[in-house]
Amino acid sequence: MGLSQDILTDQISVLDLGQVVTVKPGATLSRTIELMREHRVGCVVIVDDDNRPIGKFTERLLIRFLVKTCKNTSASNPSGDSETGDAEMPDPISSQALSSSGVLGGGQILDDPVEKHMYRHCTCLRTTDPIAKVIECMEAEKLRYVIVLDEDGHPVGITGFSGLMRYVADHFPRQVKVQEPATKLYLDEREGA
Amino acid sequence: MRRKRRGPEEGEFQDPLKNYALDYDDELERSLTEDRIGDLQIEPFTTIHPDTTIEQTMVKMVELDIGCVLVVDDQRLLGIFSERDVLLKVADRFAEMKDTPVRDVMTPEPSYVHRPDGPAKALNLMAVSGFRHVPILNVDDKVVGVLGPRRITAYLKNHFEN
Repeated sequence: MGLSQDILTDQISVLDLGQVVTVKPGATLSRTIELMREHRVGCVVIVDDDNRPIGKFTERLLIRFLVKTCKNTSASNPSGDSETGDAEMPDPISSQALSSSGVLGGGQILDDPVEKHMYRHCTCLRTTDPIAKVIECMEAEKLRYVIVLDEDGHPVGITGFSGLMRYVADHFPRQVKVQEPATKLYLDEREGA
Repeated sequence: MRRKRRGPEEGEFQDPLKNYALDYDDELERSLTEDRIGDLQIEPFTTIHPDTTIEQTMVKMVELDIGCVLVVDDQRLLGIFSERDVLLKVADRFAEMKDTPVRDVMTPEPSYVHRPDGPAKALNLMAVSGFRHVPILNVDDKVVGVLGPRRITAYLKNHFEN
């Protein structure tokens, strides 16, 4: 059968789903970043009162945010970026919101609600969807994280590149799992006597 | 009585690999076994000098929309600086750290693979060790590329389509 067939039949539920960390839209940016560091996750899902995803905040967005506050310029949407579309880019930070030094650390911006700076578009799949859909979303939209929902539309996990890699490794253990650690190709000195 | 060993008939060559036919379930398995990392897309890649400041490095990452940069000196790989490093080491103290050289916060001596290695070796680092980006070196241990989530996803999708 092969992996090509298995990804069409295996459901997302068989993947190692990463922990999904959620916050409400009113949670501060500092709290969101703190949660990302505490749980060592690259994505936090913002949910509404019904626990349904309405946005996400990722490491990529964090870097843009830090650079943006440093430069004190409006947000720009680099070409080739598929984590956001034009309509979903966070609002540019007004000069009034910046600290006197113009860089992050003054505390004002960190108190902003995360909904002001989140990605408003978040691709979600169900646990019953085939794994092929994950690959399709990641490749087409250049995503790193895909939110996985249960039957009721509540987030139950995050998948993406890491889960996909482990899935491929499980299918090809003889090729992928049995590898020597990185070593020099050529020895500096002769071995033996 | 000692049994006489019977060798091949005169003129007959017995190929020891004749009955060893590699049978792959799909194209991806064949590729993981037989292809080389150099056959994948490993360029472009971005390198920076270790004395580059954190702010300059992050500006570059945003401009190029990339998740990591390779810290090199004279093409020798010294470290890697990625979005995860920003989150864990920089995010809470960016104002005071932005002028710090990136060498102070990079991940030093990252795991890497060589260009002649098979794709399976890179996937091993990603799947088992959990690295998202894997630098590629040539036989002289100079940086020649990097593999990351986008390129590996494209590689997998190519083989599934085939």
